[in-house]
Amino acid sequence: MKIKYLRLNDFRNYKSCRLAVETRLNVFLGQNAQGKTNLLEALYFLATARSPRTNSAGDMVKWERAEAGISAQLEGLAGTNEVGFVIGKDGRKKPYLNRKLQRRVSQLVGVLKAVFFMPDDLALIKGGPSERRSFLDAGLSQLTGAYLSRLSRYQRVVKQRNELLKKSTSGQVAPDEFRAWDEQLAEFGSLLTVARWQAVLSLARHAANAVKRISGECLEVRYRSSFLGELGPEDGSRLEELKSQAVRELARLLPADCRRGYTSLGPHADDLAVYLAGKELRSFGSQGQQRTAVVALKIAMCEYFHEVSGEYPLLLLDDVASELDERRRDYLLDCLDGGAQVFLTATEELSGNIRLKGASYYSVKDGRIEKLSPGL
Amino acid sequence: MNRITPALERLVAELGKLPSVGPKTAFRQALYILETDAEIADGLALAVREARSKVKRCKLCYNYTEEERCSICADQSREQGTICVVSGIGNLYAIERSGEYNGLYHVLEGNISPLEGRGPSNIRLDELVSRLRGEETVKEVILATNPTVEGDATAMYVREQIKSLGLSLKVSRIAYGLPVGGDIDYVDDLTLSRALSSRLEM
Ligand SMILES: Nc1ncnc2c1ncn2[C@@H]1O[C@H](COP(=O)(O)OP(=O)(O)OP(=O)(O)O)[C@@H](O)[C@H]1O
Ligand SMILES: [Mg+2]
Ligand SMILES: [Zn+2]
Repeated sequence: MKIKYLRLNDFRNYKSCRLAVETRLNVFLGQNAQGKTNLLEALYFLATARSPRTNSAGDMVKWERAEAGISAQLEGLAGTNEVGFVIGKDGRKKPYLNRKLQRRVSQLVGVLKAVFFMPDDLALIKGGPSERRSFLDAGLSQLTGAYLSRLSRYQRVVKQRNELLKKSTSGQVAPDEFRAWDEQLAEFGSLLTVARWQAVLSLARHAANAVKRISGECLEVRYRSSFLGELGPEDGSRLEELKSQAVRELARLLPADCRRGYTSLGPHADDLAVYLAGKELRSFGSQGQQRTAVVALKIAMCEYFHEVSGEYPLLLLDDVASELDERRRDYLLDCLDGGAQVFLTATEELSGNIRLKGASYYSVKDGRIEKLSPGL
Repeated sequence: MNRITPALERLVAELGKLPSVGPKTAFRQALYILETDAEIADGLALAVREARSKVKRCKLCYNYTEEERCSICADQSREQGTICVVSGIGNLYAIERSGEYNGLYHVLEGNISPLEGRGPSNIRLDELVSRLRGEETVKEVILATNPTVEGDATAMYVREQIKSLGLSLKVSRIAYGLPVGGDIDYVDDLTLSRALSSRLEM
């Protein structure tokens, strides 16, 4: 899938920006604090309705302005579509598909698909489990609408159940009240678990290939389910069984959960285990090895999108030249021949490191984008 | 700063407490009440007072009524063997408007929701249970709570409560359906997958 046209109004430091995109590879050069990351943020927001850097959408509205408007025209297997958001200072998001206001934000998620790679992403290995869960959720939510709705229902159930657990310490909760929540927790929980687990099977394969090519090492990635343990190849078709297993586990741990005041099992407590040469990468890997794994996981996510949807997502690469050494960068740039449309940013000093055949180059300065003539 | 009179200010404040009425709308409504014919304003005041004093809950199903029993419970032509459980009175009216249902109701006071401090004992469930215990005519209970997380939890809880009574009762949940006349393309995936899993044989 490819973007043909992008429009930003009062978004971050952009006042009014219109950008026609004609090529697959697009490189944005500029000094610090000129709006390079902001541009990628807008594209990612159009795909996921979330910002990679803030949870309060209102921050993205240009200072002193009431609302921001962003939209993009895209072309893909589903034809030509225009996705857009109007974002209020108060964080309210109005989603537009082909200029028609949609009822739910979720209806827009995944119409445009994108994978984001930025310097902070080392947290994917070094950070806590929630970083790795978000990585999976961001991908899966774009690929299936049902995943996103199940995830938000699931999160609501967990919140309700945790509240009930807190109340139970003062002894005013009948035990059968938990069952009403446990059943839904188990239903949505096992669906999410299986979806993530299936995605990880494929991600693991692609990521292992990538690491083998970059460093020759052996990468292993496994999904760790807190209430279903390690899943086997047939488990995708045993949903009912998995659900009852989850219900039993929840009941078994209810006394402990009551004491803690929160739900200890479920997709919200799961993790992605990453091993290099048999050792947990998070605790034993070098910085370089960890960086390699992050590149590999991001590339793997692009491949997974392709596998599931038949087309590559946009690949948004923020400041990768500063972050990666030559070898990893070259590998990443090599992979770009795969077919994804790429938006890549770099500061001018590092632009020499990025040479891409057939790419368009743009300069980003103080919230304005200009196409540079070829040869620059 | 006080450019409007105290009485007008009070009216705006009271109107502003109504659901989906913001300060601007409240102000416009207040001006209308002041400027329109006296009968219209008095009619409104009277209607508010009368509704408050005359309308009460049906002793049986908790629908609104001005008698002991509501018109649905009093209607002997309705099927006495079926009770439809709804989360609120709005849902009852929605089902009545469809004209498809000819049984009785039980109106809960919302759904269970720990986050909002509502447990099973706060939503008129005991009243449903004692009604089922007392009336042997009831053969089926249809759970028509909202298709939200809370509505589903309420339905599951009610189902378990009824089961534990040990009566020979059929308990069903209304099917999750697609909006009629809507294009399948525009239905969200969860609605679609639920509609598929609760599909009917033809
Ligand atoms: N809501 C906002 N309104 C106006 N300007 C903003 C807003 N949010 C951020 N900015 C400005 O945007 C600029 C940062 O832009 P951005 O993060 O895209 O920089 P960059 O070009 O990626 O720089 P670097 O190379 O340092 O990463 C800063 O000058 C910041 O003050
Ligand atoms: Mg930046
Ligand atoms: Zn009644």
